[in-house]
Amino acid sequence: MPPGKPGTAPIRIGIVFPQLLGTYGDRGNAEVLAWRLNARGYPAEVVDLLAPDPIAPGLDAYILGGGEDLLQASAVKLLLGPEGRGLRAALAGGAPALAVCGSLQLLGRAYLDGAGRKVPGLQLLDLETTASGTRCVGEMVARMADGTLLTGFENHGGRTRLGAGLQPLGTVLRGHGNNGEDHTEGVRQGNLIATYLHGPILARNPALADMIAVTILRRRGIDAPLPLPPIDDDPGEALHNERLEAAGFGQRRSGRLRLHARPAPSGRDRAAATEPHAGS
Amino acid sequence: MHRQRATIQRSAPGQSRTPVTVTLDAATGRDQLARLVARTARRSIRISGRGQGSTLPGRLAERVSPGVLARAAKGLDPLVLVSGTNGKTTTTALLSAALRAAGHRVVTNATGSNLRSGLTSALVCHRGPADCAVLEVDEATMPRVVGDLRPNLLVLLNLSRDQLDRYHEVRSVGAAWRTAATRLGSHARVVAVDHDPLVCYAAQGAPEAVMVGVSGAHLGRDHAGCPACGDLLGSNRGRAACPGCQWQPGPRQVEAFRQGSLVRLRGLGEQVHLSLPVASPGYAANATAAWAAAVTLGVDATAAARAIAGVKVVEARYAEVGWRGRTVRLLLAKNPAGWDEVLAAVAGSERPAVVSLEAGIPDGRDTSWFWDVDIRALRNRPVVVASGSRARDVALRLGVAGVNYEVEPRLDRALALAGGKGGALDLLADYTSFQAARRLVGG
Repeated sequence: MPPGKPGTAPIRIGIVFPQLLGTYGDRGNAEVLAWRLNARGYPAEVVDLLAPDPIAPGLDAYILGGGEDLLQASAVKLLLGPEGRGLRAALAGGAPALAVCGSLQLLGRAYLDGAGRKVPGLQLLDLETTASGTRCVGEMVARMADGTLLTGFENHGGRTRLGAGLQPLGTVLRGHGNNGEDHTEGVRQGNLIATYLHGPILARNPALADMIAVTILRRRGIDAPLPLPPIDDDPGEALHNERLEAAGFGQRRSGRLRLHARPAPSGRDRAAATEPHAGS
Repeated sequence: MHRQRATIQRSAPGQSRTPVTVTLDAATGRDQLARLVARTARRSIRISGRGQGSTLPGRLAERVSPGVLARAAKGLDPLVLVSGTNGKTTTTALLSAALRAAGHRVVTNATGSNLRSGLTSALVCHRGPADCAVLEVDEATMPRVVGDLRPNLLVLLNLSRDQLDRYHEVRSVGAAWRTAATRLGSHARVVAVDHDPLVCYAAQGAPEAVMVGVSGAHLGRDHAGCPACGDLLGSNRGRAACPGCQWQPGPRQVEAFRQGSLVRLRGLGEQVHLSLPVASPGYAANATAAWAAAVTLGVDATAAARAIAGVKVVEARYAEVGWRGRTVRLLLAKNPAGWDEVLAAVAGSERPAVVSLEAGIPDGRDTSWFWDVDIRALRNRPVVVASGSRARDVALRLGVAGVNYEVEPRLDRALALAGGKGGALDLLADYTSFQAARRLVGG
């Protein structure tokens, strides 16, 4: 097992404004990333970057989660101001980052909030989000360009369209993705990954987590192999396989995921519940 | 067919009671038919062992006689609605006990069916004399039934994230609460637990509100944003305050001072001491709200406290149940704030534990919220068994938090795996798992 360089500081994974962008449990992404690094012998820790303190630019990775409309608007205000300078600089410098749901939207040119107001974003991604009457809610499965399947849970009202030069993170096999029409899910631009997938996405998709982990290590000058060595009885792998099977998709073999012969269930998996929780 | 007669006592604090006799089903023949259909349905469901019959009868009654809910609620005075993310069932039971101690005959939905159909079931299926109602209401449903039920008193407990795949935003539920509070009749009041800013903001919309809280307790989640303007909340002398729009939660009228399970309540010109079965700030908050509601409705403060302290177990929550030679403590924990509450109540315990997530529709199907639970509190347990159909989600969370875990999706096997005969263990379960556990082990 390759040890972390002796004497080097632990890898620091920052959670950006968890009070404002922490509605959907996305802090789990940071926890999982740190745990997977620690499990391979690279000391890593999670740092809460609390609003409204200025965000430090020197962290190894940044995790941004989904928030409610008004809180998201407060977050955008801070991120566009002096408090967000560190994050903007880090992202411009290629720091690995994962932005989920509301954070995907706020990194773009603009988005429409719940009240229909157009809110300017951070302009870091060439994408724009409009509102829509219905929410996209349910299990999603997408396939990345290398064939890896992603599993997660989407829950968003916005419809996002990517600019012409942007690569999506994956192709939607089940669920809605960015807009429910063009089968794109998320976006990948350099070391910045944005997605609509909760779950959290790195909890359910260890291959993606390890990919980000390797990016972090290499930026530290550590020659980490991809894929990283497996974790014994990896509960992340077990969860990944269980969720894919529950969604009607195949098994994972040697780092790759394959589809069973079974066809993908068609897109709809809305919350069945207009009449919710019927009690006992 | 029965003609149900009921004695209705109208009372207001400070006034003597004048008993009035009316027929509950005086309205229309349709309502009578609706009642008959609902009661028959309930009886069939119970006899056939298919459950409590607490939702379908109400749905049928509404089908037979649209608007029956509003008519069935007429004459029930006081009519109290209890709502919140956590603690509804417990607070409803505590307040019902206090009102019964004062001689009221209470209609309630004790089994927790808290949507419109459950409320209708409770009111139309109730037999025997009743003069008042204490109904727990789902937090999203509450604003939609206030117009029909015209409550005298609204008890608002807390609001935090729960079932985001259905409700999406806590804040929008809070906004609907505030609208409901502003539309209450001028005679109506609100008793609100003041730990969640969204709850305070909703209560401030009511004609009259009694704010209650637990001294020194940090309760609830999702407090970051100002309920009025959305800016990041700051604090002023330990309480929330908005630096932007100057919003504040307002003064507290009833305060609980807690030492373990012993609680002193002070407010409304009264002071009482009581001993509660659960030593946690959340349970103390529920008891405080129930007591304040009872006193507001004219119940003697000491009698109310005694009745509230006398309720030992509500719907198996925190119940210790014997099962196959073991003792299982049943702990309902269905969202981050609920987990905070349960973990506080069982802090220090070194029992083995089972954590079960089913993530069904009543629970919310997205388990992401589980990552916001401070599950490291279970590190001192010798083993924690991840269970339920989402056992793999639980297992990863436990593993990442450094908790010693096993995986067993089946609940009976998980309980057996966690604790040997003669031992005691804890089951922490979401709503669907909790109901499954009650069917399995009793309680």
